[in-house]
Amino acid sequence: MIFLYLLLGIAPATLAGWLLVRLIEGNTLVLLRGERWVLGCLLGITLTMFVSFIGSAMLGVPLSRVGFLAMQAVLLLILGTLWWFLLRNKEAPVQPKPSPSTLHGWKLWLILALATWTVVKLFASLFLLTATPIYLDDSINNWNYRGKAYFVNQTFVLDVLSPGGSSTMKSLSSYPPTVPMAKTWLADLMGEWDEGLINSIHFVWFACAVLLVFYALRRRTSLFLSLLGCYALISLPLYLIQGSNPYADVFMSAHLIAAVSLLASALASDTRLETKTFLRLGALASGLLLFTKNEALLLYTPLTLGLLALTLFVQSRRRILQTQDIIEAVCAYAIALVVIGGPWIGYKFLHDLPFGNAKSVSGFDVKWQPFVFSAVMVNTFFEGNWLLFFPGIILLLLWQWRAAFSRRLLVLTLFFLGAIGVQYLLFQFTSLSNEALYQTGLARGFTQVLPIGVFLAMMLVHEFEEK
Amino acid sequence: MSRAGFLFVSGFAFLFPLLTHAEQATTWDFRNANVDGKWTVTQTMTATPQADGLHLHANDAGNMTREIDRNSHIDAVRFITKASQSTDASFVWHTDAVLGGNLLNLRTEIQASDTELTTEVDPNYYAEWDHPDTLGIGLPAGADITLVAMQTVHWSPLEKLSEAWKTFWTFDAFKAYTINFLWGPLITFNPIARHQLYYSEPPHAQSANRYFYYFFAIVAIITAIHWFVRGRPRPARKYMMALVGTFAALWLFYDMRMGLEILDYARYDYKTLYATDPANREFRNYKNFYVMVDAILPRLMQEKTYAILVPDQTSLHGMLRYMTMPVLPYESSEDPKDAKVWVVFKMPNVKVDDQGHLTEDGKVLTAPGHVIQQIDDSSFLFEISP
Repeated sequence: MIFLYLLLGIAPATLAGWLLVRLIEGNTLVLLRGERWVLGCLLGITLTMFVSFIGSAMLGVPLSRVGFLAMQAVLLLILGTLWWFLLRNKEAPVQPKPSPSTLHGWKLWLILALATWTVVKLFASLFLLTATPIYLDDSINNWNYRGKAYFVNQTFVLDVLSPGGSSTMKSLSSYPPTVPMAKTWLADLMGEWDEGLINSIHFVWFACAVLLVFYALRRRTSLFLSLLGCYALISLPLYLIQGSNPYADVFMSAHLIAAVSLLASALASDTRLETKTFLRLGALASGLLLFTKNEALLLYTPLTLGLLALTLFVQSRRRILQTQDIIEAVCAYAIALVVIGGPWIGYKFLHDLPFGNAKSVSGFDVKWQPFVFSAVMVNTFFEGNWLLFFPGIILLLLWQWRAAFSRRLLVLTLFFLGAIGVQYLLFQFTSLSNEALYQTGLARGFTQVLPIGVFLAMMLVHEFEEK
Repeated sequence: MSRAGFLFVSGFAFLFPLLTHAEQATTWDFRNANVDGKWTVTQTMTATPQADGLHLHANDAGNMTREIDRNSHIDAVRFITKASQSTDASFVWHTDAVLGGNLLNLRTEIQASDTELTTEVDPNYYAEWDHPDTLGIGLPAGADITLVAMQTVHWSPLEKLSEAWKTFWTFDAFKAYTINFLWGPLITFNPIARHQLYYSEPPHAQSANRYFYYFFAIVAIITAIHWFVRGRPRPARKYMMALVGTFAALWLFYDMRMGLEILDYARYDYKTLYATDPANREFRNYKNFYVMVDAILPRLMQEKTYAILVPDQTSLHGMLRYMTMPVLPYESSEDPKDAKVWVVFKMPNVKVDDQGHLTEDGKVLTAPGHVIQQIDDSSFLFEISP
């Protein structure tokens, strides 16, 4: 029953997301059919929660079933109208199709075996997510707690006070509210706070991340490697654990792979219209990234903007993009970041919410923190978190370094290395070191960039296969 | 004899001594007032031989030690004891590597028991466990135990290999830290270390990852030598495929290990939550907390607020707050002056005294009242009388 409510709950958001993605593609379709739905689902959920946040925090629309439905109806009406007038009567553009690829022989048997094993693990994970009681601190005090606070109060609240007057939520309200609001919406839809239902949304985000890796690979490689990429990502134990618990890092990782793979596709493309379309889609994904977790604003957006500049520079040098295209792309990113980031950042300033995760980012002393290096080494290479992923990708990067730094993969390589590198420096030189020493926040940052890492790794394997 | 047969017989002949070399134990038995060998007891302690063992009493912290052959092979130590109360004892030893003749000690809790109880110690994790020439037991001030026997144990190489394999497949449980890291496959070389694998954080074991790396490195070296000997043929695709294939095989094997651990989490939760009588349901380390929640939730939801007494360092306070919202409890730092109902979970030191007050370690917490729901010996719902 909860899965019926889940499907009902994500359907309007998915349709809204699909319409927006399709409108942005315009007359140059660049996404595979399934990819458009997956991207629509992921970005649509975040978009509808953003619109509901605006409606509740600024216009006073209640976070009730009617309130959520009203905001989603308005969004669907606007996007549907635009689609009707702009695209409905136009000649259908060419829908990209993946390169012909079939599985046979040992590849077929291998994929069948891996798929069977993976499905068994996914069932176990789904059981842990939807059929066991709440257990983990951040779910209890942040993600689920805030969602229930909105559900109970039917409005966007920053804090809930205990009977003795202590604050129980304020600092945690510094996190963007997408995850808790999505839970609120599902509970409103069902009419009660059902733990299984409100946690099941995490599996949707997990599936989105996996499927986006699949489609990103499928646009460029064989079916075999694309499926192998999905298997590899799901097989990473801590990624599966994070994906099957009410935590937000897999949710964020899905948005990151969307934003970065679209930008990478823009740089890899050889045609003007395709490049422009990928850049517009990348702008949307990057804007919505700001409404996921605080790391987006402080860490990933600067990296993305740097890589956007690189993409525009390279594609203009190759005469793929003209000056006007560059201006359009910059405007697209600026609009997306300002329209989505602006209200949220303004709201933070207005209510004195910190920019870090429940803590201020000013006042970090920059100095060498002992033992961090060994903690990072142990977590990365001597625990069971990532199987052999990190040694593997290091070997692949060394082995295929020319391909890794080629135009086709440059965005992926630089983003992956940059994100891991900046995270390491933050742990090594700031008081965030405790997150590494106690292994609390260390792996979460890695979790966020893993889909990009797996995508990159499979592309490097593809380079070897092509030779 | 064929070449394969010759290799098999040779291999068996080589392994035979290892197979026959099972667990070896040296026991110093103190029963029947027997004191085996020469032992040194510090002046702060008394050691009295008795029928059921050596009665040790520590007026102040002290130890009882004996010298051993520093070339003897010792993998673990067992203390067989009786004690009227739990004791923070320690396993002590001395090696030449430690200057000044100081003893090294490894904290070892000896549980209270009227009957003989075995406490096992595995010191192999510590670099300082290096050819000890002295070992024994250390006791804190006031300790009073009967040492029935002490045993040193040694296992054969094949047994150690077998234990390493078993440890590799020994899974952790789903714990609060599981969302942040998974220890992954571990390696220890004796059953004592394996049984105590997840008792400590970090576990006293090697990461098995290093063996994956060793294996891959060996294959890479062999492949490279083979390639070099064959005159460095180009393209070297088949050699690279050998490495890719090895890496993939290791990945699959590792995935099987970790995947089975995740399945084991689900199996355990299913077994303790669903495949059991509802009254006996338990959830991970929070035991029967959710049984209590199910029982008391209807009552709590009728209140304006309530107070909570749960063990420190747990998330139970936050869990209950989350579950009863919008009815919120007092935070642990606040004075719960308006609370008419108190939730007490797993607090053996919280009692209702003869006058009906709720007390914690004898200190009165509330006005008189009564228990309205008893969940177990140390968990109940208490209501202050109107």
